[in-house]
Amino acid sequence: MASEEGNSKRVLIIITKPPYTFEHPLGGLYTALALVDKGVKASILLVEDGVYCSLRGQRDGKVSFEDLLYTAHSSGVEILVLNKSLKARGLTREMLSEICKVIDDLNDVVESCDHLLCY
Amino acid sequence: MKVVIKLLLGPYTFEHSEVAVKIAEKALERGAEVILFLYMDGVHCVKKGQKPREFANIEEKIAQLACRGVKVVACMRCATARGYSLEDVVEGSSFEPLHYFAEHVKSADVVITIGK
Repeated sequence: MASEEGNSKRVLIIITKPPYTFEHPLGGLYTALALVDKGVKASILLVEDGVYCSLRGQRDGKVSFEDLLYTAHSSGVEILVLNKSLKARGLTREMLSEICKVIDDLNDVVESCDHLLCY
Repeated sequence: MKVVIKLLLGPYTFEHSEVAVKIAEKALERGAEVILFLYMDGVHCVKKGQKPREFANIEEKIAQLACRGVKVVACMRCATARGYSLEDVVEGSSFEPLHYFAEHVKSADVVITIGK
């Protein structure tokens, strides 16, 4: 466990589903926003089909998950994307929003969090 | 010990709600403070008047948990999106914004999400 005090807790939110088809990415993102609002450090990790949430220029009508990610990022939520999942889907770093940080190793991220929530 | 369970799916189609109830029961037996937070389709679990023929009635199980001291809370945004008002849900349950969940995560020893 990374911390014992509530205010310095770190929560990792793993999103495994693509935007627009499922409510899960939205559910994870709203949870991250609520956590940072309460003083909890929150990171979103996009894996499996969740990496489609990080694509630049995406939009479904009036809703853009990219815009929502920007809102979360500006509120202090770290946006991480697993490189292995990107490569498996033929996606590259250049195709992603600039706020996303691509990571190769899960160990450091998982070990540094107090709680892990999956969506 | 404080255990927060976040359930994302409704009853019967999947087994997730039964698993959430069982975890809540066991945590309660071990003396834990338990919060069952129903999120997204999880809010369907507290709908009044459920009559499943082939499955254990989740409404009854959740009502029993509430009687035994589990805080049963449905996400206000998710419940509103699905057309629920307080008259529609099990006695002992309530609606709270997502910030309620966030506040309890701060002091929780264990946080479990069920229904990915």
